[in-house]
Parts: sequence; structure tokens; C-alpha cells
Amino acid sequence: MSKRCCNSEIGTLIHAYELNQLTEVETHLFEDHLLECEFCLDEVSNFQEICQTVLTDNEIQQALKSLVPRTPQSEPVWSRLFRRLWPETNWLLRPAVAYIAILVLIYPAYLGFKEGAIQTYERHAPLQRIEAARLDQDTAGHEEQAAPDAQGWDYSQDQDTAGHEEHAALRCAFCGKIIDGEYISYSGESYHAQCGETLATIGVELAEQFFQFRTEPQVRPVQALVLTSRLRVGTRTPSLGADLVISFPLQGAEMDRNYTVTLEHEKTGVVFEDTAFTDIDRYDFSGRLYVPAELLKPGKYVLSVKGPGLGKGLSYPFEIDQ
Amino acid sequence: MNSLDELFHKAVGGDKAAENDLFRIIHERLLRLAKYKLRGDAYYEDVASEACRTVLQKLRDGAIKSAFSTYASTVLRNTIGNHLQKVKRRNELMEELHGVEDEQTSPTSDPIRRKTIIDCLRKIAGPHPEYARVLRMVVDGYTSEEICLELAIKRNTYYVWLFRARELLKRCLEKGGAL
Repeated sequence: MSKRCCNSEIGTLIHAYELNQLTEVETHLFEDHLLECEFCLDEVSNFQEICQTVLTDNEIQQALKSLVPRTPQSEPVWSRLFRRLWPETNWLLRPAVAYIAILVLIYPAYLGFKEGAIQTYERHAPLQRIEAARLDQDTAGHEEQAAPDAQGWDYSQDQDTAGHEEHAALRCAFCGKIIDGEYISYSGESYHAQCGETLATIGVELAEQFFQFRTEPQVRPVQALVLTSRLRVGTRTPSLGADLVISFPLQGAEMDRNYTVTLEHEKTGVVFEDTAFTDIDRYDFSGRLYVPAELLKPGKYVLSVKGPGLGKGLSYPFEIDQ
Repeated sequence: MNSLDELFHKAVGGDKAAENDLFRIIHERLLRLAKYKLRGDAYYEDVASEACRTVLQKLRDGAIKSAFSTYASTVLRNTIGNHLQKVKRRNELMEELHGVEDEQTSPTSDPIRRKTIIDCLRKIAGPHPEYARVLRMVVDGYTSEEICLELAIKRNTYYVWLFRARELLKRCLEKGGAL
């Protein structure tokens, strides 16, 4: 028996042919195909009995009629939905099972999101409670309390805080504690008098730092100096006013060992010393030393390195211009 | 080009082996097609043999101008038509002579097979009610035009639905009722 139809386009007409549903022309076409295609000839021969049974058996016909209404419109919506969700197949493959599984998976995720939202709310809750307390006082406090006093302070006084629920209590926006007595109101928030002063002090300091930060340059200029055992390599002599990154060869140095690096000025002596220098490039065995501009002066310098594998040590002279 | 056409052209060219092969293949296929078309008719072999002889004769005469399979199926159709007319005339004659019609035999279904088919149809109708619906309408006696009109589908769609319904039914029956 041939495994496949030689012309699948005509082959799809097979059941229509078996059920006598083709037009005369299509029937002739399919019968021509049957002589050419052994697969389809086998198929119609083997399926003939089943086809005849379906077409002639009363019980099967009745079953078909009970399974589906003649037209889709006559089938109730719930029936169609149920049929879609709960078809007669392996129960694991039923769409309803898949939907339930999806819901089961989604629910913990929903709970997680909800928990996160609650936590976010709790973080902001003090502010909201203060707002609620203010509103509460704005409405209920009118009966008992007066407006700002004659001195012009915008203050209020909880005369009966014990009688209020906790959410209605006025809290300090700085320390979070309940305000019992006078308070300062600033920019929509309420503070204890003491907290207000502290906050004002912190605010001034923060503002100073902020303006200092804004006015100072955030990127410092850096100049590089590459030294060799014989000659200094570089396009120009480093000058003052910028930090210096010095690269120098450390042939024979061992990785992860501490070295002593000393930078000595011809007049002022040692200006920089690091006894635990480890910044060695493991590929080209060169050290890199960062020297802030504040430590540098014009004149001649000698960079000395001592440590394991370097024998008596290495020295690199260089000069810094004015 | 399929094997029948190849054999046909070789046979026309005088290849005796090809002619023998072609005759053997077309005889077997005409026999099966005749058996299918004349369901339960004991004369299907005679019909197929007659059609085959005609085809071979025309082949030798060089009278086949169309595609070989088209020609052969046309000959078979005509032969079957002639045979059915003879049967009809015979039945009419029998009716005149004896006043009885030939007994119409309807296939009796095996109960197990029937139950399996119903189970399979139920399983197909679940996820694919449209397939079961077209089968139901065919069983109800609707023509393809009426079905396409009522379901508002194209004829090709209708054929594809029938094809898929058949594939599902066949697969289900092969698995003994499991889809």
C-alpha cells in the first residue's frame, strides 16, 4: 500500500466522494485520481464499510443528531461553551483543565502583587494617616477647636486624642509619633516643634551640600604618565593641576603580593608611600599608581618599587612641569 | 508524470513489458474501483474485465488521446452504466413476471463496531462540532449545495471539513475508540 496520496489537493475530496457529495465533474476527477493513486484507492476500499455504516445505521444517525444540532444557531451558548471546554478526550488535554491550571498558577502571582502593593501602601500610610487626621480635624475639630491663634501660628491642639481611633491621630511627618499638643504645619505636613527645628537644620545642611555638589566639577582631569626602565615615554611632560596616573613596568613581580611604592620629590622628600600596593596588571606586568593633583609639585620625582621578585627594587625618575 | 502515464507512453511506443505491466495494474485498479462502485454487486469482476479489455483494445488501436487514467475511468463509468441499465431492465422484467422487487439488502452493523463509531463521533463532536454537523447533515440527506448554503461556508471548506472528520474518525477507530 502506498504511504501517501500522490495529489493531496484532490485527495482531500475523498470523504466527499465516499459520501456522494461531489458534483459530477468532481466525481469524474476523483475517479481518475483513484486509478492513479493507489493510496486513495486503498483508503476508499478500506473505509467503505464504515462509510456505509455511518450512512445507513439508524442508531448512528440518531447519535449524530443528538450530538449536534443541524445548525449552529440552534445550539445553546452554554452547550457550545461546555463542548469547547470539556470535550471528550483525555481529561488532561481538556481546555478547562488547562484554564484551571493557569488560574492556579496566576493566583500566587496575584497574591504577590497584592502583597507588594500593601507593603507600598504601608510605607506611605503614615503620610496618608496624617492627611486623614488633618481632614478629620478640619471637619470635626471645628466644633471644639479654634482657628490659628492670635500670634499667627498655624497650630492645632489635640484635646481628646484618646477618644479618636488611631488612624485619626495626627502624627509627626518626621519622627512618626503621635502629636499631642502644638505642632508646626509646613508644606502640607505636620511636625512636633522640636522635630521641625531638627528638620530645618538638616535641610540647611543638605541644601549646602547640594549647592556645593552642583558648583564643583564632577569630573576631574587626569593625565597619564608611562614610565620605562630607561626613558620616560609620553608625548609631553606632566604638569600641575591634574591627577596623575603613572604606569610603570614591574617585570618579575608576583601577583597578589604586596609591594611598597614610594614617590619622592627632589626637595620635599617622600610625598606618597603605599606599602600594600597590589595594582599590577597580570597581562603586561605593569603597575598603575594614582596620585592626586594635591600631592604634586613641579620638579623631579623618583618612583621606587620594592617587593618580592624585584631584587633590590626598581626606580623610575620623572619630572613634572610648572 | 505518474507511473501509469509512463507505462502508457512506453506501451504506445511498442514496449510489450510495459504494456503487460500497464494491463496488470489497470486491471487490478479497475477491479477494485468497480467493486467499490458496485457495492454488493456480484458482477463487478465482469464489469471490470470488460472495461479493461476495452481500454487495452483502444490502447493497441492508438485511440487513446487523453490522459490514460481519465480514459480508463471513463470507460469503467460507461461500462458500469451499461451494467446498471441491464440490471434495472432485468429487475423490471422480474417485477413484471413475479410481482416482486429484488430484496434491498441493507448492511447490518456489528454492535461493537457501531458503538465504537458512535463513541468516536462523540469525541469528534466535542472539539469539532462543525465536523459532526456536516456529517449529520449528510446523513439527513442534504446536498452539498444546501449544506454550504446553510452553514455559510465555501465548498472547499466543506470538503476539507469532511476530510478532517474522516481522518479523525479513522484515527479514532484505529485506536479502538480513543482519539
